[in-house]
Amino acid sequence: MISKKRIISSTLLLLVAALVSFTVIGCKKEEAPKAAEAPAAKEMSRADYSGNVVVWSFTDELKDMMPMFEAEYPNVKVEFTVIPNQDEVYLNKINTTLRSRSATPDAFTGEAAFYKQFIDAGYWEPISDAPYNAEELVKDLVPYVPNSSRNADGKITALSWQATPGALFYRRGIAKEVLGTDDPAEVSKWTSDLNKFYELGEKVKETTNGEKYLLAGYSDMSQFIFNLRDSPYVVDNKLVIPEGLLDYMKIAKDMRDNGIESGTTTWQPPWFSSMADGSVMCYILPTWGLHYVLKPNAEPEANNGEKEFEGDWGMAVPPASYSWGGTWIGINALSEKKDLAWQVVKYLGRDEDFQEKWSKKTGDFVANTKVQDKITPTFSEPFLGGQNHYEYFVGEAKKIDVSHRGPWDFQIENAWGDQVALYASGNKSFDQAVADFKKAVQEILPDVEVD
Amino acid sequence: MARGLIKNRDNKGYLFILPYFLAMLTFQLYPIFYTFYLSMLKPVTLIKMEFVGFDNYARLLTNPLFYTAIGNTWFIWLMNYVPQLIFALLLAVILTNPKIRARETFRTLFFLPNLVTAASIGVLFAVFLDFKNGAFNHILIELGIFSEPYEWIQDKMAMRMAVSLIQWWQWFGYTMIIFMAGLSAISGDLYEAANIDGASSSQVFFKVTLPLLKPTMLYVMVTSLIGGLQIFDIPRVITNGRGGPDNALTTMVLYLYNQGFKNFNLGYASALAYALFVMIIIFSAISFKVIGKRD
Repeated sequence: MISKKRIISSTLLLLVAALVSFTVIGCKKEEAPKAAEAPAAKEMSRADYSGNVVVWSFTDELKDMMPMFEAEYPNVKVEFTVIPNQDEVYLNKINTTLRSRSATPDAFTGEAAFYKQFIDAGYWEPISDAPYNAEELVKDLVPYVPNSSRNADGKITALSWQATPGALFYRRGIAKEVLGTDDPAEVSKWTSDLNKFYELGEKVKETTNGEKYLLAGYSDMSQFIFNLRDSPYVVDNKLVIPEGLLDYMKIAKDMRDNGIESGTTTWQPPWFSSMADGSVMCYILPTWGLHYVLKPNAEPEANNGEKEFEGDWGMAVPPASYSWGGTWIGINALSEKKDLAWQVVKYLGRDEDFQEKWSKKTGDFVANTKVQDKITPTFSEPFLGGQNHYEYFVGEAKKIDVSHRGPWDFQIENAWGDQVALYASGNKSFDQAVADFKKAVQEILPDVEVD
Repeated sequence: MARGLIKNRDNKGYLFILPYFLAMLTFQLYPIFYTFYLSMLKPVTLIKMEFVGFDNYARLLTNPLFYTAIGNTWFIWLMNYVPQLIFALLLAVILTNPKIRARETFRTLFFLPNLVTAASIGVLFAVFLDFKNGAFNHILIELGIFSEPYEWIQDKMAMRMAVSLIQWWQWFGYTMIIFMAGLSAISGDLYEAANIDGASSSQVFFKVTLPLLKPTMLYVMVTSLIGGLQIFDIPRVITNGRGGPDNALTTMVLYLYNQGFKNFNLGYASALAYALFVMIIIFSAISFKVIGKRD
């Protein structure tokens, strides 16, 4: 018979083993990843680089870019994985991977909504100095693109092939019906000022007897509103609510109450379907929004090359300049193949030949100003009735100021959006909505003073 | 000592149970301890954390949202559990009656919702309840009940009830099957005896069926409670992860998830996990005590 003593002692043994393993693993120091030995700098041709490099991204654009890279670097093989960021899957995947000090992926992308957190955490290798010397390479780029990836020491950590200035797209048919003209310059007179824009909304409603709307949802305005601020949301550990956000809440309710927007929410299925049914005049979208959101949803068949674009869309000036989104790519600070990873980052973020091919292939707006200058005169977008959208974006890209962007903006702006929705639907008073927003910020940043 | 352990015949049993213990240590006991350790940390950046002792627990207990989350969870559970119990019992009694035709078909039909994934039901409902394009508003307007669409998604009570409704619809079939098993375990002799004594069918139900079904009901309650306290998927999907409107659908687990994986505060999320853990232990203990008493 097994003695009771023995059972107890073996149980204790197991418990001790558990505790020891817990202490050993649990007490590992939680430090930011340190830079491994930097690769030696020497002149190498593209064919000299060889090996495998692992690249992760949340966007599948890179799937088409990587073969272009491999063609230029014949001895480098890219193992590319897309991890969609639906429900923050990508973000959490990067988090768990890097927290466990993994050397792969060698390079990975980050999006405007969360890349500041990557930078703060030190996930990306700083590339300003030798052997990378990115500072010398970024002179031709739209300044905000490398500058917004600078860490606390002022070093660049990531590059991007794109700049993402915003615009406003409108249905020419509705513009003609309401304003008697579909000329972008004339339409811009109505769309470039927020008060006039609201007036235009009333005109759309009157002319069409309330059957058509200026906007699919007031939330479409949020991006330029969020850009319209002169300070970060958190200053000296205190919450700052920009005046523009308060105005937006009021306008949102006016628009909802007066039937100026159609009652959908950005990114929800009815919002996408409203693009095709012709009931909405304007969509406020940036560069990528044109190619990846509006075109495939407004005219899916033409976008697949099954027929010609109708050219019923135009581009006008939005009520305020803004930038929305953007994808940056940086080197994993723990990678063992930083030289190869740097070639990927440099190729995407800087290479003129690549960016020219890419913009011609996709119409995406690239970050290299030399490429912009070269291709701008030749651009004509059939979806926009032949309008040259590049020309406008070149001007807008120069105006972008994202210096107030902070690591928690995405969460804070979502919390604001929640309260706007409650106020606009009449479920809450204005003051209550602002007070509840402060509570919501406290949930995100418990140490920040909100009053 | 190790040699002695293996040589002794009586101890060979330990070797056989070792794999289980290793798995339990790695995947159950270790995470339980590690979560406790995590609950004492606070994030500085995504990767750096600092030790704060029991601060996260203090924050938890003084945070009104924590109590709101508990309230939401219980409300949603009760609102679906009570009708589910009544409905399932009724159907089980009807469908065990041999006089009813096509019983098998009905049984399958009622069980079907349980096979649909919660996520797809959530998406379906979100579209169904949509403001301007949702079928529900269109039906109400067509019937002349509403004159203009109502924004259900922003109505706290409506959204809580919608989640309860989905839960009810998904689970009454399952509960019904359990009840049917319980009913078939009741000896036919008892019914025969009741019939001979001239009991009416309602008397049979309340005096024979219901008392003998009590263990089954307790089983259903315990499993439903443990599942109900952990409700997450439908509130998550139907509100696009926001837990809104106004945190009306922020259940305990959704709150935990959003803190851990949206706000990246693993420490606070771990403290929440512990609070949930303690609650489930308490309620399970109470339930088992009640069951134990009967036996």
